[in-house]
Amino acid sequence: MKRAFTAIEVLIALAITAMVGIGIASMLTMVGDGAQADRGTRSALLRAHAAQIRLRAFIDVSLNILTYDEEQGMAIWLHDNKPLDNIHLSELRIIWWDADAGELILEFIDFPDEWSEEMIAAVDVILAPDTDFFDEMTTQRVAGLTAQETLIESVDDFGATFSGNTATESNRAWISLNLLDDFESEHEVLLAFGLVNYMSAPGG
Amino acid sequence: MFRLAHKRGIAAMRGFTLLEGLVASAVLAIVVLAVGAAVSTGRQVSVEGQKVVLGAMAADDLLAELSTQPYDTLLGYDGYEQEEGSLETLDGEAYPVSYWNLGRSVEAVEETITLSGVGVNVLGVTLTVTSFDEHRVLASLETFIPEPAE
Repeated sequence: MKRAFTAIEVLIALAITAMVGIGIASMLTMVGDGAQADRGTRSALLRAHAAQIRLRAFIDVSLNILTYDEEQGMAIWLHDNKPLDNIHLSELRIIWWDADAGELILEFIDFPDEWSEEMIAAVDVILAPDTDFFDEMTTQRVAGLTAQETLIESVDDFGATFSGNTATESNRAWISLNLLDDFESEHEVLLAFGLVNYMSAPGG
Repeated sequence: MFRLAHKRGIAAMRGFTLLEGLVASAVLAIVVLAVGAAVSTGRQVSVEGQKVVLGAMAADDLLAELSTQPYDTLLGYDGYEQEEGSLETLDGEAYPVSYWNLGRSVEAVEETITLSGVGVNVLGVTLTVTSFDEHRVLASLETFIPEPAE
């Protein structure tokens, strides 16, 4: 005689299987969500670490943070390779946030390779202390004499604070960044910088 | 021969009992739970790795700030400590919550090091910044600040 399942047996089996299935599905969903969040955090953290290294390569070794503007960025006197304690055009660096592209950009003067020393010297002028450094870099950009490097991508916000009353009086600076991960989640980081070679800006 | 074929036919029509089905479900659940546990453990390891990176960044930050302090104040930072969850800059600005529950401590020791290439002794302060969480040390970074020339 063929024995089949009774209705009660089938219902009980279905109920048990459903409960097990729901439990497994819930657990896998949580694990998947957690793994995704973890991947996002990891990518943002690695980007933050790279940002710290790249910014430190410029800010920590610089002589002075000449000025800071929330909209235009940070003007840095990187070195005084042409001595006499003056700011030459080639010694200027601008770090600015391209809000549209979500990138932190480093811009600097890049003379063409074919230029002679005399041609470079004619353009590599001394900048007065009250120069609008951002305007100066823009002028050179229009002339095709600047180059840009992307320091960090997926930056949602950029800000800076300083140890002194103004940027140029400060030998310590802090940069806050809002980084977006691959899943558009925001991660806020704070990076500290110390200008070990700090010197007052000319005329300051 | 007919009887053997008949028995085989009866055996071919035999299905699973309820007990067998439940045991199979239980085995499946155990396997899935084991896989889930392995994935969770892997995530935990990844989180710990992220903490180490964050700890190294935080330690590097404090070292950069201390490097700008006047030389004669460096030894005063020996024993300076920020407890877990209380990270702030030297000027008192709090770190964001993304820095989890990290803490930092400073060790400052005056010592003389010898530059092996030139055989010159240099007096200075060795600063060691250590970052940690509630369980363990995450990163330890060190730098030597030479005494400034007169």
